Amino acid sequence: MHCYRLTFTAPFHVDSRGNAFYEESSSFIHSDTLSAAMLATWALIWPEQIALHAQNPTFRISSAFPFYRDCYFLPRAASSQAIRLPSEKLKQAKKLKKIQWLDSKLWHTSLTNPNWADAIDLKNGVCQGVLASQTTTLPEKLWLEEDRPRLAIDRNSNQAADSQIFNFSRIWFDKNGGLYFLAVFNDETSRQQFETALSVLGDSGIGADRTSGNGCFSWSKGQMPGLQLAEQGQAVALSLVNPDPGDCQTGWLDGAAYKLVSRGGWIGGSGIRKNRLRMFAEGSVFARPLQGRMVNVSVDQLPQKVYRDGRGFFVKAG
Amino acid sequence: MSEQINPKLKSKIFIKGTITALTGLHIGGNSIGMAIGGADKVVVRNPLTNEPYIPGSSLRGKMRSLLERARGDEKHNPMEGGFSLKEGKLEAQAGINPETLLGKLFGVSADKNNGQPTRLMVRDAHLTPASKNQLENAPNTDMPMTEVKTEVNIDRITSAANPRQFERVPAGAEFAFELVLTLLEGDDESQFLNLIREGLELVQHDSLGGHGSRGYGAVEFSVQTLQERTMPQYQKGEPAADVNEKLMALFSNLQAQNVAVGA
Repeated sequence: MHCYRLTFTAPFHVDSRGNAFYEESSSFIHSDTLSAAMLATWALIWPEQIALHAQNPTFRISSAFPFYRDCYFLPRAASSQAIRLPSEKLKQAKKLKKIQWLDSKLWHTSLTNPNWADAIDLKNGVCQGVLASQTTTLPEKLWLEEDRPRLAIDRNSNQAADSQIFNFSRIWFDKNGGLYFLAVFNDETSRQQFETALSVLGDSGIGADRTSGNGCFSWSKGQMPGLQLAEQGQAVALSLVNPDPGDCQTGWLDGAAYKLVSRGGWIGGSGIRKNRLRMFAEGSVFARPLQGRMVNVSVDQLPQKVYRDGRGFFVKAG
Repeated sequence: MSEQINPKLKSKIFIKGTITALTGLHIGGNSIGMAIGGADKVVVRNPLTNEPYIPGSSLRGKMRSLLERARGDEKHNPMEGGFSLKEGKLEAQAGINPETLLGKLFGVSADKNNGQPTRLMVRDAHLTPASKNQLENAPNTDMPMTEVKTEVNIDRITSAANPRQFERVPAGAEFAFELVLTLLEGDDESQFLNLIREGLELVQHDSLGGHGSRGYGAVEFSVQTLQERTMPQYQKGEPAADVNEKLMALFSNLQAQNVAVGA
């Protein structure tokens, strides 16, 4: 398992809804977005490979989660949402409920110990209300969202074109932080190709409005401690997952805790929407890891096939 | 879109240098959270550091619209391109033909795209460390690193004054800019670089940001490095290297404006 740290040299905008709503950006990057960005870059570098590759990529990646210095955050498992609090701590329930990201130590505790939330220091150990760490002193804000007015200028009159003003939101990361993701590869060649494509992607940017310099990053390798890929037994998803029919055996949802997200968006360079698709969110817990699948979300008018990466990236729970 | 085009990436060219504001520069930001007694129109600032910056979209948009206006209607210039006229209305919009040079350089709307990536990327230009230091320690700035300029609108009949205030980055401020040109196999790099040089020159002779007709936003570009990172260099994990002198010479004599800094 390899860990890649992305340090952003420019703010980014990743649409959280996929309906051209620019005023809000997601603060982390889902695995299907990252995978699609990698494959689009791949298509520019090795166009001869892409038809096969898009259907069956040689890599499997997690979503990109926040990190700060050496502190890696993981998405809170859906099974840790329900917590029992002693009556004197009930006032904290609202704050605890909002926490979405746990540092790796807390995350491991949250999977096994029902009283894990007792360890959180709500005053000093929580950042932006959503990130919790026991070990690292967090900055006041790990990222900031900027809302900037944008407009179109008419070429004739040199005036702002009517009703074309809109707000565009971008995420600025603290310079000591960024996003990281985990990846596994079929072989050594695919790892090298992946890293080449990642360098090109860093110079091209990820997310929306790349031609205005958004989403550029530099990457380095990181060491993410204490996670093991799940082959069997209880597993937590670190990516979005769309189950393969083979995953859906009798009782496959027994003891599972999950959230669903709806994913949409545009097909690059076509101005056509993708078919919407629902996936299990990061942090979903299942009795055994799901294989997941590349889902064909093609639209009739287009000559090329369009896929969405719904293959699971699972780690052992506990 | 009958057949699929598979363009192949050749290299990326990084053009880096500085933008000097020759007159006060106003690129509008969000007025939400405006302080009492503050300026009516504030400039855009980096939310992390509170420094004013020049958004890539502003510089890119200005380059594009000036180049397109210089070329005229796209239909009459099928090689290089220009703006497109909205049918039935006298409204000029960005070019839509992906085959023209300007269409390739700046991109066209997604539904007209022919499967090629947009060639030019303009990154946000941030204050240079020296300029930041100078502005932070300047004794006479009204807001952090900026000046507030009051302008008055006089009623022609009653002579009543209606004042308003603009926040500006003072003349002399320097920003570091970076343009990234993506080249595909078969592209003529000097053609695109020439267009970029012309775009920068046109911006020098026009203005950047708001209120250009009242003297705001005169800028000067100076290109310091021109580097290329080719596909083999990406594959070996090598950094970008300097391009040959012939290409560098393109940017060595950007026609200066002869406006004194701080004038």
